[in-house]
Amino acid sequence: MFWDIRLLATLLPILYAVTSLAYALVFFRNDDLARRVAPRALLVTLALHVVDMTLLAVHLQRVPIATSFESLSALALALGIVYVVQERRSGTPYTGIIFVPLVFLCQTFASAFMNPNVEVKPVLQSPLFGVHIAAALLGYSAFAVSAIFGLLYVLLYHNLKAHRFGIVYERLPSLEVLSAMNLRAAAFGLGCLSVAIGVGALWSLQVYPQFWRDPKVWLSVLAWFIYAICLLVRYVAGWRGPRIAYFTIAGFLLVVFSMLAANRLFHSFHDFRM
Amino acid sequence: MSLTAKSDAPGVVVIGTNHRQAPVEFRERVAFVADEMQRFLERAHTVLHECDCFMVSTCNRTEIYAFHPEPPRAATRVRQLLAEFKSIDADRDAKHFYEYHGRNAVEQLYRVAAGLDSLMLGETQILQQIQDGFDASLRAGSVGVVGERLIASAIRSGRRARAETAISHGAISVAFAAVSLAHKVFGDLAGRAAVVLGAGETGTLVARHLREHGVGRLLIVNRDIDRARALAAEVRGEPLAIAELPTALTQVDIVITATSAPTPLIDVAMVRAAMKARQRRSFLFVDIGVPRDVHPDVRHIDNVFLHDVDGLQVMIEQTLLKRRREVPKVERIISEEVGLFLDWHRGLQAAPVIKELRGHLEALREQEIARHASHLSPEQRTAVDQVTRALLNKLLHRPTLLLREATSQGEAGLRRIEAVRDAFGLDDERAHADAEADSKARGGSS
Repeated sequence: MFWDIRLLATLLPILYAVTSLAYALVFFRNDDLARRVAPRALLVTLALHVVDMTLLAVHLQRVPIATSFESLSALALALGIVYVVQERRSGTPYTGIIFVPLVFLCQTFASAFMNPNVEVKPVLQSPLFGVHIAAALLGYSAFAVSAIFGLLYVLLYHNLKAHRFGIVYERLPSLEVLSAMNLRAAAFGLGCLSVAIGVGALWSLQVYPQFWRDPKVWLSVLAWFIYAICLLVRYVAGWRGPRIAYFTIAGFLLVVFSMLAANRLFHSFHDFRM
Repeated sequence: MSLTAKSDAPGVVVIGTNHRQAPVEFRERVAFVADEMQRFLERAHTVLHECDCFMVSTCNRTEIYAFHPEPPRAATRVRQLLAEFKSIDADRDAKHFYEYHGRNAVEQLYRVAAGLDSLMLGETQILQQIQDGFDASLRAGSVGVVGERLIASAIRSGRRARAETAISHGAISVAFAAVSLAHKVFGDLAGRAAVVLGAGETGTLVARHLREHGVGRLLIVNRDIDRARALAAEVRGEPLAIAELPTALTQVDIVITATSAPTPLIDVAMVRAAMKARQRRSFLFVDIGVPRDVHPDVRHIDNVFLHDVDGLQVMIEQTLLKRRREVPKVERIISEEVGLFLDWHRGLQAAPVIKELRGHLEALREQEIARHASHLSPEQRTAVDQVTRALLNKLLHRPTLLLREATSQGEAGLRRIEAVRDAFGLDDERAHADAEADSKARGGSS
């Protein structure tokens, strides 16, 4: 089974790279064959990714989201699933050019650096831990999706302002759709993060009573406030257009960089390696 | 300009004029309306001794297609007839007409149907105009089985070109470009409100386009309120006086202006006030007026998109460039469809039909004998073979005679040949054989 996991871990980045190429052909050439192949290739790759995670879980005898690279692989899977759902809903495959390469990058790092033999602390048997991690991963994936739609919104906004009617104008959905996806993803992410923080606090009270001292806890609370303020200024103060898009992009970058910095600079109980 | 037939083509000729061949004054003179078209075709059908003929007539082209065993003679008669119906001189105005024969004439109709020969490359109205010409020829009784097949096949080819390529994608008129911009900002226009400022020719066109694209509320603002009322009645809109423009701006998402006012009617302060009242939702201005109706500084306001006629022109030029790139793909479709039509036309000759019919029935006979061969001794098999062969020859004797006679019976004969092909499924058989040959060719080349 170990070699099956290694084989799949090597295969997944290759498959995501091929799928990214297909989505690039969809965007740049609007190629008929690529339009049919790309969504199917992504579904097959995501299915293999699920198989990989399942094999890894059986091999490790635990949920494989305890280390940074296990979480990165789970994040790639969650991002891929969130993208597939939004592609089905919006009916346009043209935004795949941004999402799928991002999934490819996450999985490439995860496959390259993940150690399938790493031992983790035994506290991870609680079902609350599974809910906490799943909600956190979904929440951060949704924030990534929101930031990407924000970026696409800003791109189309400036193209429209500058009378540029090239490939961005042609392929992207309307500003209204991009704005709605940007906000919906942010709201969904905020909901998931609320669950992750709440459940995480409940679980930690039993296992780590001093959990509030962990910088990652504070960063999660900071992320929660950023997105809560974003939705507040949108719906209460009436902010519109690129301001909200910039807010979600900046919020996501802040969350990512502060998490990376916290991993390097501070000790955190969120590291479960033995 | 005249191109002669290739050897495999039917006896068909087209006489025509279009935007490349003649100035607009001449095209106007030879354009036909529906009733006139019918009378012309009735007369042409008689003059051409009951041969198939039909016409395509739009503001930019008039083309008459005729099936005739001697295409040059048919062309001369059609020119003379045109001179009788329209105020033109058959000899002096000959330079304004083109004339194609045989396969070139067939290809011309397919090119027209695909929009390759249109003033606006890839435009879609031409398919309806060909259908109108066909309807007129049906009323005139001037079109038979070959003409019907040619028109149906050309229309199908035109539809394929639009479905399988991007030859008709994008906006190529200012009105269409304005609506396309509205879709790009707001997506579905159903719940949106728009104001059209100016009820002149362009304003009318834009208002109709917006209504066709399902815009929710449509306000028409004009200096002359009577004209606003008239246009509003036509497009199910609401007329407003020009003094109410600032209020109208607070209620709409899309503003399209097309007036000839010498100074801008909408300034920055007016738009800022409207944006505040509209809670800064996206606001689209399309200014088609020359001089401009919206002050250019409006474009600097957040969430406001201002496009003037130069911006729209850029969009139209880009669309035309993309459409031109699709022409080779459309030409491949045309070549394929013309090939299918010519194959079908060749099948209308009696000799190949007799050969195909005999081959078809002979194959059936051999199949049946082979199926029962295991129950027969060699002597019995020889006897069955001889009896069935003799029976087949007797059965085919009369149909063979009738098919040979059909060649000299004009339209009725063609219908008889077509009926035999249908009854014995010869076209299905040919399609099957072609598919097998294609599959073998592909297998061989791979």
